[in-house]
Amino acid sequence: MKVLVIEDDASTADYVVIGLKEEGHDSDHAASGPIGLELACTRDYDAVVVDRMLPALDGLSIVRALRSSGRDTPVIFLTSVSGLDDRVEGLEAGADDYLVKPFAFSELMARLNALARRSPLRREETILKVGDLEMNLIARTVKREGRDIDLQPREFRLLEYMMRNRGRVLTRTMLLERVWDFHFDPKTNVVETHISRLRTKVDKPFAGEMIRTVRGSGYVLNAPA
Amino acid sequence: MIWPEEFRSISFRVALIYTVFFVVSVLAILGTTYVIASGELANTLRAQISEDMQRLQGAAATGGVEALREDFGELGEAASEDRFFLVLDAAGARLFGNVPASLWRPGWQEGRLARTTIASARDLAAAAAHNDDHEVIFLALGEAIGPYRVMLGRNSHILDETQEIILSAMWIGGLVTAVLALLGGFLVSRGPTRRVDAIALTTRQIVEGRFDLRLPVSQRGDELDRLAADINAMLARIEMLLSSLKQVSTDIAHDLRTPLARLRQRLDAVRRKPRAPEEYEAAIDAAIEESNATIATFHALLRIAQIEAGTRRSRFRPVDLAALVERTAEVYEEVAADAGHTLVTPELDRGNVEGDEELLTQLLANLIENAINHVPAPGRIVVTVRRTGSSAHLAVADDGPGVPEAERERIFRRLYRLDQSRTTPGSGLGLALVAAIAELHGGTATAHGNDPGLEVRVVLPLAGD
Repeated sequence: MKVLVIEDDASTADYVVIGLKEEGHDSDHAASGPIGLELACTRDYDAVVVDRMLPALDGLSIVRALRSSGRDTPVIFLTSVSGLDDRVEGLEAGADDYLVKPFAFSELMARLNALARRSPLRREETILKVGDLEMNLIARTVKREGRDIDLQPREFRLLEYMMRNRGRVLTRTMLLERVWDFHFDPKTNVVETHISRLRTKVDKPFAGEMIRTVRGSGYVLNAPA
Repeated sequence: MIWPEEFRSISFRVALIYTVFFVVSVLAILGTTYVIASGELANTLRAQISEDMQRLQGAAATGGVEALREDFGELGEAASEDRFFLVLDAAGARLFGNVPASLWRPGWQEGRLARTTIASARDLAAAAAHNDDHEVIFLALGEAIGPYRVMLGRNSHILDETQEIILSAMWIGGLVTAVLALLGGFLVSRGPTRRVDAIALTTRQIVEGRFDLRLPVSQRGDELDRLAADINAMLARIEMLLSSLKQVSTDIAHDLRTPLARLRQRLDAVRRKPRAPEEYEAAIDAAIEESNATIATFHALLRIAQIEAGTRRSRFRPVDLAALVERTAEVYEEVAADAGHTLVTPELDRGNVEGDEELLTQLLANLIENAINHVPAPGRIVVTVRRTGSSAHLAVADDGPGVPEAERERIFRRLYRLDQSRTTPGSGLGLALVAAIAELHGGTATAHGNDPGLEVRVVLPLAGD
């Protein structure tokens, strides 16, 4: 994966660039808005990480300029304050995701993975299949090894999100945002509880574990080994 | 040129403009009077002359020359320094009269008489002596009656006098009006100027840091008072924001020093001598955990401060509270069950509030999580939404240990934690956030006893239909 990092703060930029290198990804770093926009418009990247606050040209303007030039490169927006409106503003400007600084690198990586390899075609699928697990989005049914699994609506959404992102690590925060539309950090183990319920229905009665916990990062759904 | 302060004030300028208007209207009224009065007076004189002349003509027509001569005698007796008459014979020689024959003209004449003419007749001289300028303005009508040429006249100087009186009335009236208006303006502007001075003085003191001061507001309720009241409201808001800001910095200083010190101690302890890689890993994980918790507290504090600033209101939409409770309760039912509690929503009245769905969800989530974390299992958590008049009452009640009555108000403060809950998870910001979100929506959050347990009630104004 090739990532463009537009970030003026050297320590954050190093953190991201070194992290990407360790994960085996290439990256370009732009320390100012205009250079970043120039690179984003002239070279091909799998994803762009752009800071909200930048000298000369701020993150919002970069995303707007990029989108109005017709490029749909996935963009992750970094906000340094826990600004209530920054997320909405960023998404409205055309960013695909946002992350509040300071963030864990695993969180950024998980989000980059989810964005960069997103295939537009997959959106229109009506049947999702991972190994012997099958979800029918029209009939709202789930089967594993041909046996029906009865899921609550929330469990269905959780499983759907995990199946769409099969093989990718999904962090707690990503699940909270995408599945429950929670944009805050709960003080109870909401995610753990729902994952555990899902496991008892999807994994326990069958041979082979599909939902795996990635320590310190999140969860991943794979075809059973 | 520097004017004294009173003369530079708005009310004085207004008074000055009024003065100009006033003087102009006084002059206009008197000017009109002048024109009408002098016209009227001239007409009266002419009418008198015409009337006398007609009587003579009438006498000549009915009584002939005899009657005419009798009238001439009467005229002679009535003649005075204001009433003139002249009778000439056919040849132009003067028969009767108190003015020289040279003044005879047929028809109307009006004008100043030459000095020599005045000197030649006693009544003219007397008339001239009465006038300040020693002149006679002579108004006369000459007509032929029978064999005579008759002229009747008046001293029209009386007109001039009236005109002069009106003119001087105009000047004096205008002057007095101007002086009075200026004086009035000065006096009228002194009151407001003093009040503005008082406001300016207070404002300067506020600028210098006395945020507790307020602008003086009188009982009058006039424009200045309304302005001062609005500014006072603004000052109250600013003071509230400032104290909230001060509170945040104090809270951060007090409450974040502890975890930072703990973090440093742990890292220091690990660094003191060489250790096995697993020990380092564990120490690093613990350090990350500790800093994450600290960052989370920072975020929560900033979020509360931001909510209190009220900028979020621009994103308000109608939110159905009952639907919001259903959605959120659905998420927490199993969380509560895992902790050994039951979460029920027995009563959910429908009703929209104007609000921010994301924040209202967080408000409810905080209340439910608070109950889950502080109530010993098995607990019963009851969430209800009731409509009362124009407000919606969202209540989260539990049957846990509750909060002593004296402490109930304080639990909504930032970083406030009951002694008994020091050991349970939480940053002491959850309820402060609830209070901030409720206030942002124009509502309130209060704590009540639930015998046993705690009920937190959030009252929000319902959206108008």
